[in-house]
Amino acid sequence: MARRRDPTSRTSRRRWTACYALLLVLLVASIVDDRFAVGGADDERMPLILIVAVPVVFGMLRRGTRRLTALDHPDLDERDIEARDSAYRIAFPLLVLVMIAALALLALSLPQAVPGPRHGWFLESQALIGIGLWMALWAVYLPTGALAWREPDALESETQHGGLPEPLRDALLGLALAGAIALSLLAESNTGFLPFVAALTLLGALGRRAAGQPMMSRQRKWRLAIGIVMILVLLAIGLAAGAGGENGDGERETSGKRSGQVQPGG
Amino acid sequence: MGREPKHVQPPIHNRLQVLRAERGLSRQQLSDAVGVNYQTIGYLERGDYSPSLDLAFRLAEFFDLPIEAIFARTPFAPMSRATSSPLPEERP
Repeated sequence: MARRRDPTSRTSRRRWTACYALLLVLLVASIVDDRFAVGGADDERMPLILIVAVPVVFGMLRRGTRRLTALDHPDLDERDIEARDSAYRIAFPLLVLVMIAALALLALSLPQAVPGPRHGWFLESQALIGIGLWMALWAVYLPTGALAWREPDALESETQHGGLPEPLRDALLGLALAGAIALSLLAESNTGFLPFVAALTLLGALGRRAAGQPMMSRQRKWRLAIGIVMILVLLAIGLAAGAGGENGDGERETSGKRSGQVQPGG
Repeated sequence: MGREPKHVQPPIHNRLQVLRAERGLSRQQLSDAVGVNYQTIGYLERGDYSPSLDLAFRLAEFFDLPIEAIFARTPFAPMSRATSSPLPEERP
């Protein structure tokens, strides 16, 4: 059964399919290009907003397609299985293209191998892990994306369940996402993360109110409050650690590690 | 000129919506009876999906009608103009 805020129209699903692909492009851009990166050290390059937005948008797509791409879904009927198989068939050649792109990016962004202190040669680069993760995200996304793109509009009875109108919900969420990404990239920091989380919470509350559901139970409010406090504490710790690391490693960073160039050691 | 693709199927028309309304069934009830998701019944009614032979047989058995009374290659005539299955005559 589709839930209240799932993207049920094909138009909406296509919007979020394109949005997810754009997020992945931005994610890999932040790995290989300093202009899209934030922070000062190699492990702080990816904007936090992208790391959060990717699962949010992917979750919307999965719910919008009723998780049909799950291989072991027990409730699939013949039409669902046909749609799922077709999605996998479309996703496979697209994944090959992504693999070719990933190989090209690896060739561009990998540093030279350096001899280890005792034996062997090493590649020291976060880009290697980042591009591997990027490829895995595409592999998980492509079948769902193909399904979301092709599935017809959901039935009327599914869409008449209150909540914010779909175009308005999409516009508000898209605006919050675009604003938060722009803020993070312009400020070259994770400034956009908290406003995005706040916008998500507000949209959820608005959707519940529009659907005539209770705003939030007391237990849920407490859980949310504890979650926000934990995020803030983690952010504070991260910022403090980052500031400390910057002071200590400032000289090393300026020597070229930020741009992925590893200096050969002796 | 290349060969025509073999997998392009012409649409299959059906009168599921009429039969369902006639028997006062919801999509959910019909889907439970024939063992598919209720979205599939909706997609069938809208012509977004053509059923397998197995599902067509299940639907025919459920409505107790021959398959060709439910599915056809050509659009069905409106019930008001249908001559193949006339309404029973009113008896005094």
